[in-house]
Amino acid sequence: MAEPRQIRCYVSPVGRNKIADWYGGLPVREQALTDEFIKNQRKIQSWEMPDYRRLGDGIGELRWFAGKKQHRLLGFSQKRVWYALIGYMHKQQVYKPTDCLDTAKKRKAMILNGEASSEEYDL
Amino acid sequence: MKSTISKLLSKLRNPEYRKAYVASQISVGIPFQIRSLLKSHGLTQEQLAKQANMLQPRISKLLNPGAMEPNIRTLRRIAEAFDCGLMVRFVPFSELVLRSERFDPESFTVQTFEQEDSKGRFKQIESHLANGAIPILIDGTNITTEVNQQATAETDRLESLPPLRENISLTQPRGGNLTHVGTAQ
Repeated sequence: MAEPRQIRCYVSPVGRNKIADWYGGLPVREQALTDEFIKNQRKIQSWEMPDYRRLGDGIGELRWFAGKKQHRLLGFSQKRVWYALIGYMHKQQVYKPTDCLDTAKKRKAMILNGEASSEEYDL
Repeated sequence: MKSTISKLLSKLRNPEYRKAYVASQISVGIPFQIRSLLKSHGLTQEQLAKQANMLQPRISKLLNPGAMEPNIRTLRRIAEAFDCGLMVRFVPFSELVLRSERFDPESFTVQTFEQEDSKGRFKQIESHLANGAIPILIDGTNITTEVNQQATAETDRLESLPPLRENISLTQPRGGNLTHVGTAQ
């Protein structure tokens, strides 16, 4: 088995792990689905559709279902590390939160310019 | 890995998470298995749909992690299409966790009956059974040697430990110094 892909979480300038906050807000059933999805995805060397979609500006999204809901994590890759920036939910054309892509772009810039940090995805 | 397993263990202590964990092995674990089988057998979704006598959009949905919980009839059709077995059995959580953690979507495959037959797998099993030894298989891999080595190492470790002391109590005699009073086993 190859070395699992490293995933890190966005941590705000005041020290909040925003991915842990998002994960903590999911119902337990959806947390378990997320855990199983992320565990398998870490072992896959090349992320592709339908699990991963490139959205431009270096941002991509991991996609999985919890029944009729679609969960997504927006993030970006750098040096074999994938940085998770924001988690969101998509159901019947409704995105929560609605400004997730803009937030992801801002957070990416903050990590790259050192205003924000990251920590290992260990949820 | 140790941190991940410790974290999983603490989650599994919650009965609600345990139920969800079992469900996730079906609705997320199965799509990853089928994708790996498609890849290793060199089949397209359309070809699998034809062989399983199913519609391609249904196969597509089956491949999406978390999108559905396939029923046993559907899984049996998929197993028939890949000419492999399907095992549905009740297991302790430790076994489920071990299988789930060992699963590698990049290398997972299952041989067809003919592939196994041509490699003499059934003759090997016949010989094992004739010797009274039952091989321990996980995902088709014989891990009997690995398990035996781990058991031997654990026995060696236990035997190297100092003797167990029981009934130890501390008393303070009039003289002042603490002394152990107990029985070495």
